[in-house]
Amino acid sequence: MTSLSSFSTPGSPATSGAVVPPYRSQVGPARITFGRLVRAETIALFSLRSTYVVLLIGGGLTFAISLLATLAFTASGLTEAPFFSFATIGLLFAQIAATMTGAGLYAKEHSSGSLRTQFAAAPRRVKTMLAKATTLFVSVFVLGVVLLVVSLAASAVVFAATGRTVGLDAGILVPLVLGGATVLALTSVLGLGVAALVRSEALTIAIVLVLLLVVPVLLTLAADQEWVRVISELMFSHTTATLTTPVNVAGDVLLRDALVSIAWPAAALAIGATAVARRDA
Amino acid sequence: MILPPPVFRLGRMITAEHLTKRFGAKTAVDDVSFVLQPGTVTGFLGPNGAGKSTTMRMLVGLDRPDEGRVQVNGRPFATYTAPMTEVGALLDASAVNPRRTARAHLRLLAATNGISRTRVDEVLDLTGLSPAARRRVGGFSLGMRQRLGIAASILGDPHTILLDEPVNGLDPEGVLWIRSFVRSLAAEGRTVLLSSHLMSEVSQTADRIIVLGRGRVLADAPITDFLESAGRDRIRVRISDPAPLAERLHAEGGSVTTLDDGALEVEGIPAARIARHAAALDLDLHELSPQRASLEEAYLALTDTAVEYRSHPATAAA
Repeated sequence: MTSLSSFSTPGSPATSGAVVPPYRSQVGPARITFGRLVRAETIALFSLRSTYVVLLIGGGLTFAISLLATLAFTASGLTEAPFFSFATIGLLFAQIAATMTGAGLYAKEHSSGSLRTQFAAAPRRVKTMLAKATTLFVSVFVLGVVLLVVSLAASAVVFAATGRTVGLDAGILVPLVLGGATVLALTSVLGLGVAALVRSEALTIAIVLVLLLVVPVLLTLAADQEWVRVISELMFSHTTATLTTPVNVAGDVLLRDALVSIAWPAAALAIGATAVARRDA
Repeated sequence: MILPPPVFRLGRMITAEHLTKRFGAKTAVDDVSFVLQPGTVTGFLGPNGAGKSTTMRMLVGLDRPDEGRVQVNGRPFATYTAPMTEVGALLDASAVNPRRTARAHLRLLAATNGISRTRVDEVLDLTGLSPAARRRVGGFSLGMRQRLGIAASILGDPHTILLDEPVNGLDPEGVLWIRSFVRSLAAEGRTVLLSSHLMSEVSQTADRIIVLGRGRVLADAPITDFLESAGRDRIRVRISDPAPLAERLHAEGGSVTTLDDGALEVEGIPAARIARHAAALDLDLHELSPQRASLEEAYLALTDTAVEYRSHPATAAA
């Protein structure tokens, strides 16, 4: 028998000596642009029922807690607090929902294998990650604005119904709504970045919750140390708290906390996107 | 081993050059080179763990080679502005979010390259998935997922299509459809790489085959050449009295085997010579037919020492 090892011959029945005209795609002008990647990610995000469920539960809880706190306050007979201070009381639940949404947009697609199909269609992975981040940021920001406006409106109605003064000062309300919505949007991008790094939805949520809830508590245990105090002030939970209650905050502190709040998700996204670009899909 | 492509071929080619991929201490793909030619269906064969899927993932940039490179028409795949119009791939039918509908899955892929919704509906129609377009993929059978993967691979109407085990889970109608579909793609001048464990599928569809074993290319040749080189051309002889003919052929140095149905299988003696012996012995010759090695036999002979995961005959009692 002829040995077949390293067997190789040129040509093939279909092509030997034949001139094969090049096949050209007939689908019309196709091209990857950043805008198209954002559109694709928007379809990816809102074509899953879980996105609606998570955002509805997170937003619903935030609204409910805000309303309950307002009702409790008005029932107590106290008059000190302004109505807008209740709108962001339950924002942590919306932050958890934002984290889950961000984590899901990467981790769910990764674990199902859908991300591989996506990367085969659009191989520039960093661009795709930036498109995911943009989609998340804009979507969560818009939903955050709606949530906070509705929460503020509910608190204002309760205040007005109980005969309290409702001061509609745009100089306070607009920064509060935009700041709160920005925090939710940044949290979702933080979730995306961490998920890209650890490739697990559950682990991502755990890491972000530890960052938001556990680390700040641990740091307070050693708050007498100067370096611990500095670190505490640079924690994501601390700096975003400034953005959600931007009342009577010095301009330089607001700017610093805004920049640090942006730096956290930006760093997570940069590290996550680099990891995604370097490893096998 | 890799052969330079003839200059008169005008279509778009995929060239894999010295691809090597390691996973820890294991070398999954070892210095693999080949050229996929336009207008040709190339069968991609090899035992489990031979490195076929890893190689196919490297072709579209999903896995990064430790050494070597892949060029699509002279450029890296990732540099194309509309990659879906260059190469379409079905690498894993399950690589879909099960909670998404078939249409949403295709729409999001199409959106990345700016491909229209009309094209999404076209490929759903073409693959017979239109009635299930609004169903979640989690409820799909394997065959339906294969069809969805094929729909995704042709979404950009690409010139090169990579199909990893596309007939897995398909019903007979689906298998026939894939076979004619793949042939029609090649007839249009497209390049098709078809990985399959079904030898009958490959033998009926492919023009050329590449066989991998333990991460290395064991063969890369037109399927006819591959079968010829597998050798062992035999001649089946049915005759009124096999014994005297068998004795004579044996004396002449031929290898003669008596089959269950009484026919003889002869190796080493040409058919014309066998016929002359039969006539000299005054025997009635009922059949004299050349038997060529099947693709399965040729493949098994080639990969005999390259099988990584080997099963053992089952025993009735432990």
